Amino acid sequence: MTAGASASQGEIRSSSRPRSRVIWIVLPVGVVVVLLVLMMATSDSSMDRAVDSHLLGEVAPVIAGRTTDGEWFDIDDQRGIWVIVNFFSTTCVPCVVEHPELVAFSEANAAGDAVVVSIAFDDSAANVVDFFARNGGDWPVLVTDTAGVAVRYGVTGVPESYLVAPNGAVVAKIIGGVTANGLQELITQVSA
Amino acid sequence: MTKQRSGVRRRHRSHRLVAWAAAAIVGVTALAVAAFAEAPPRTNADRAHALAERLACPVCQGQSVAESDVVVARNIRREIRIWVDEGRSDDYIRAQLTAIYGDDIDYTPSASGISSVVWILPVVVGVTAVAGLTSVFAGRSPPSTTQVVASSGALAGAGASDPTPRLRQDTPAADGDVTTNPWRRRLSWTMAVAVAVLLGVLVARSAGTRGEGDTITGDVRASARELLVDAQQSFARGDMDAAVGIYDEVLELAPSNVEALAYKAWLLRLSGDSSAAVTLITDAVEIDPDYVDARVFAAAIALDLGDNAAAVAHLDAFDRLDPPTLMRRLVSQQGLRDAVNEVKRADALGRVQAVMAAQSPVSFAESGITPEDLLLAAEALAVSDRLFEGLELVQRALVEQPDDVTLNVGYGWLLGRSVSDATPEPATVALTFLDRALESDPDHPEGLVYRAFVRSSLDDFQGARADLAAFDALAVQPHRLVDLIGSFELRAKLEGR
Repeated sequence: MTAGASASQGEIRSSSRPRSRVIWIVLPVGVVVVLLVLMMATSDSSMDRAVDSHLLGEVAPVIAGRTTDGEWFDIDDQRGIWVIVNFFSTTCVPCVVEHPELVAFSEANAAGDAVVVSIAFDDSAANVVDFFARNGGDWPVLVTDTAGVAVRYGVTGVPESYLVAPNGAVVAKIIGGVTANGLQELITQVSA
Repeated sequence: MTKQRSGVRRRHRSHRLVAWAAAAIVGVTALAVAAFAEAPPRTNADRAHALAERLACPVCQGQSVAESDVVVARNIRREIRIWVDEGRSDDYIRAQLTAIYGDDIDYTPSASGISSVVWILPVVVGVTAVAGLTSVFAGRSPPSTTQVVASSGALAGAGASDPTPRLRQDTPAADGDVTTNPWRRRLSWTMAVAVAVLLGVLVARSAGTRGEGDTITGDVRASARELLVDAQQSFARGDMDAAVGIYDEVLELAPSNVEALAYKAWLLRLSGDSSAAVTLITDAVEIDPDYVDARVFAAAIALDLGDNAAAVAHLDAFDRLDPPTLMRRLVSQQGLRDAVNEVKRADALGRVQAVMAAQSPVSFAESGITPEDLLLAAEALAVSDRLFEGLELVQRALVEQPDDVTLNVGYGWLLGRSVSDATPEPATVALTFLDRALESDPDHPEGLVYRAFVRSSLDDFQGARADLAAFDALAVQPHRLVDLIGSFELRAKLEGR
């Protein structure tokens, strides 16, 4: 091995080092960027989540308790009919707006094909009783012990409704106010 | 030369030994501290709070479940407390809530699926960075290499023809170079210490975290029970401040303990702070709707705050729970029954009067006014010295529904209660209506008890005893009627006859 050969080897080494350092910096940064893009591309958009629910296709979480009329309500006793589980509050304007629609739906299904059950969301029994006295509606309404129910259904705001099929499974989640026709169409659509 | 080289090697070896010994001491110390000088076990309240801090409020911007005061966050906090007290693991609780509200709410990302990237990335970046630093520092080591070459040259100049030093110059990764490179040595030290500290932290963290079925959870529950006994004793002694303090301790250990929640609320109410009590009692009722004490306290607090409908709902729930005598006595002592009945009567009277004002002729049945509503309205009139108006109201309803058992019993009792020594006549009329009701329903509990009173007032003691015997033979005796019999000492009166 000559001195000249050693010198040329040294040059090769010194010229390759900066390039390898750049690779060490660029490589992790590149990996991070690619993975972040991948994460963003594969995550659900907020629009998709709006109508999605962990409950779809699952058995409806338990709703059992004393209604404002003093009767006992248990969603498991409603097998064989459609159930609209409606979370509402008397202080929420969209809930007030949707209420006549629920009344119309309830009256249209008075034969017993479908039933509405309302679950008060952070409301007082006095307000709820007064609300139904003023606005009508003779379906079961649960006011007390409803916080756990709201969590189990994943309610984040009101009004929010769930359609439970006669077999007891949740088949739709509706965020915002409902209409009588809309509910009827939904049932027809899901039944088909 | 060989002696000098072996001396250098020994020195290098001793340096390495010192480095590893230091790392071992740090690691062992950290483990020992974690194992023996472990921090006091975290309470369930701490755990619940820590979990809430690691979860994003599903409807808030940039706030955790612990920070936010929106309804959703409050509900989630309550559920977390219940799960923690049930002994559920952190993983279970996070899994439940992320299943409901989505993975986005978990500040601690999942280690599976695409989210695992955030766990893998730091490791990849860290390893890359260490490798890069090593490479960079290795590149800055010519001075030490020169030293080796210089010493080799000196050795060669001393007459040795051994080529080893030159070969070592071309193989810088060899032993001598590594140990004489101060940067590498420092790096080794740093990494050893970092690994040891990391191990210590991991062990300490796992020791401080309670999982499902861990003994610490059981110990905490046992102490909560002991504390509750202490609190009850303080309460019984009248030492309210001490009792509140102990209930606070219980709630630290078991934040969803209904007894502590309910009794602390009750103590706050007794000190005049019903507003502060309402949150606690609401939690207690939500967590265990069948806890009779909480129902009584909730009714009282609701009445204080003017939420009459809630008070009625709580007391109705209380009545359905087959409450023990002690709590029934408390309801009576606190005047809750009277207050709630007054609310019910006023509400019913308002609705009945509204129907009467709106309709002519009046049809109570078609207006959704039940016989119970009518009797409550009649009671409201009777207690305000308008008995005849009350009787007239029920008579109008009886015209519409003459065979209604409830109306007949109610009318009979309204009349029967108005009996006095001066005016015994109504008792006979009352008996007619009660007889008619009991013909239709011989097991009507109110009918039997009311008729026993009326018969007793007519000196038909045998008939009264027969009614009470029939009442006692019923499968269920409503507490309200048992209390009514007791308060008028009807049995004692009949015994001597």
